[in-house]
Amino acid sequence: MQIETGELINITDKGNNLFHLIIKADKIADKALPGQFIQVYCSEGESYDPLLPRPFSLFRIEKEKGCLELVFRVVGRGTSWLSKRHTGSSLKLLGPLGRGFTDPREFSRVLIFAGGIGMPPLFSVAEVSKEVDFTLFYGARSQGELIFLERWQQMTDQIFLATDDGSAGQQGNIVELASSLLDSGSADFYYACGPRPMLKAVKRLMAKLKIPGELSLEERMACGVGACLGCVCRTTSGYARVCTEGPVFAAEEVVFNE
Amino acid sequence: MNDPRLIVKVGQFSLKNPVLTASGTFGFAREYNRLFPVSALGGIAAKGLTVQPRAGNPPPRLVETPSGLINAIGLQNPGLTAFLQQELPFLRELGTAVIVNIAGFTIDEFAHLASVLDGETGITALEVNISCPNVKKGGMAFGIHPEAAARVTRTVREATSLPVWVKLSPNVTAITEIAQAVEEAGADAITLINTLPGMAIDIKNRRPVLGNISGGLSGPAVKPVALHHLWQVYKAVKIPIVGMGGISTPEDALEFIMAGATAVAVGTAMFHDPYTPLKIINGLSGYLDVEQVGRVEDLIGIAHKKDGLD
Ligand SMILES: Cc1cc2nc3c(=O)[nH]c(=O)nc-3n(C[C@H](O)[C@H](O)[C@H](O)COP(=O)(O)OP(=O)(O)OC[C@H]3O[C@@H](n4cnc5c(N)ncnc54)[C@H](O)[C@@H]3O)c2cc1C
Ligand SMILES: Cc1cc2nc3c(=O)[nH]c(=O)nc-3n(C[C@H](O)[C@H](O)[C@H](O)COP(=O)(O)O)c2cc1C
Ligand code: FES
Repeated sequence: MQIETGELINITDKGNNLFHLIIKADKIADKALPGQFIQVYCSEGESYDPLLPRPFSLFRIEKEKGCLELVFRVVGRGTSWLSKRHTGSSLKLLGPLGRGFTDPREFSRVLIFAGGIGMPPLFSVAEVSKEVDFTLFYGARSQGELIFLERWQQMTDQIFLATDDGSAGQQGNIVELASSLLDSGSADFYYACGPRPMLKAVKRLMAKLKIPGELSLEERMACGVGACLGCVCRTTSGYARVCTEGPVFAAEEVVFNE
Repeated sequence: MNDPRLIVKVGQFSLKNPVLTASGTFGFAREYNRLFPVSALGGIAAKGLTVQPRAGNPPPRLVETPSGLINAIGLQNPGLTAFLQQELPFLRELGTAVIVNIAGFTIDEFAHLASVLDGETGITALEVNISCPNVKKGGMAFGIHPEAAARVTRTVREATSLPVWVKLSPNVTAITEIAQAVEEAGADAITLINTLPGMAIDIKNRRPVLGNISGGLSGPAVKPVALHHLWQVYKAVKIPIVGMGGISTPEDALEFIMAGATAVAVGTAMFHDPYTPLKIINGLSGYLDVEQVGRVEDLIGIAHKKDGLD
């Protein structure tokens, strides 16, 4: 974990308020693992607004090039600021942070459940799953939000899509889709990231099929390093810090209260 | 970095410089010690400690506001026994002053914490938290009445030979009365301010953002309020004051020192820039150079003097 000033190598507007960044940050890239995240300080110079850094998962980690890639949705002031950076600008980063995914090479058949902007950390784990047989379930509100599909198709031909409006794949959500296609022999592990209701449904379905897996969670953060105790989520062993014990948790540890 | 001009005396003991970290924003120093040598600081205040372990409040516990942060952690901490076994041995080796922040729900709990910690080495001072807004009972209740504040202070004073710092709440009508009451009851120093009550509402869900509904506001947004409390308390007491509340730059720290703080603590600004305390330490040395001031102690309370610089 360290603070590094990265250089923005490329920024692409993917439409629908989604952006893709490539950042050169050798030191963090060297240490980073799939499922870990970084904090990006989204204010300049003397400004104290926004006050807190913003956490983002790593979409890709290119160790040879010393690059990190992020994919994010503009939802507020921090992400709006970030979307307006230009190639060549510097970004202050803190990372790599948190506990990432279990190495997929430990398994033979893996399922990946990506919901909307929960997709990025799953891409980085898929990239190390090349030798592993994996199936992607990818859902979003509409077709335009299912991004980087071509790149996913280069890694697997087992891709199932769902959209809320039916503009791509099946209309509805990926968990309904998955439950009609999967049985307990379908895989020996899964990874999921997305909105809470989706994670809860994935967990329930996978528990029924007796397939173990991991969920990547989000919570509001301040320090990002474990010092403030601000980012906790409920687990079977009490509150756990999403920034330190997570963001990736074994699915059976996570307690959903809704 | 070791600039002898920055040494300040808080009561009986000296700090290598006047820059501390604020309780609850620095954990038990382990995390930030991986980013920079914590030994460079004047001292650290550990996370608020209670007799029993506490799970803390339900999430969400944080919400950002303009130049501020509202937190409702709810004093999550491992409890006294685990602190002694797992955290204090590490803190002792840090090479800087260690302030242990204690919070009781009854007078007896304050007494118990103080007497157990009294037997331990490696603690510079106890910071008595009578000002936490995020717990239902105890906490701030002791900090809003002069008699209650004095009673807690006296109890802790009698239970320990360690220096006793009392941390005041800004959520009172007459902070000077509380300050005088704790001074009279034997406090060695006053620290201020703790957070101000605040809240935020999520207009999509039409519910308060925080799991605890309300929380404590900190960060640059509270700085003028903190400075004003400090200004008043400095005039009312003789014991040293450790100032905090939104301090983010060397200039902020200088304002607090000039208003009467012997030392300052950095809290929320750690989240904006973890190197803030180091930058403040360097900035203080720089100010002494440029302004040709001999020692930082020469600046304490200087803004109260009628004949300022023209
Ligand atoms: C571990 C982790 C990984 C993440 N990875 C990604 C990613 O890869 N791509 C992506 O688009 N988003 C990701 N997010 C969510 C992203 O951090 C928020 O969308 C972002 O912080 C919003 O900031 P803002 O200033 O634009 O929004 P504002 O609403 O103005 O933010 C106000 C405050 O709320 C916090 N906040 C708002 N939404 C969230 C949220 N969903 N989760 C946590 N904090 C939030 C902000 O950090 C900020 O402190 C991740 C969050 C976490 C915790
Ligand atoms: C996340 C967080 C946790 C805190 N926990 C404690 C605590 O346990 N005990 C305490 O006395 N003060 C606690 N505080 C208050 C700070 O120590 C400090 O008094 C206050 O935040 C004002 O300083 P700042 O604006 O620099 O943060 C906490 C503050 C924050 C932001
Ligand atoms: S964000 Fe501070 S502990 Fe996780």
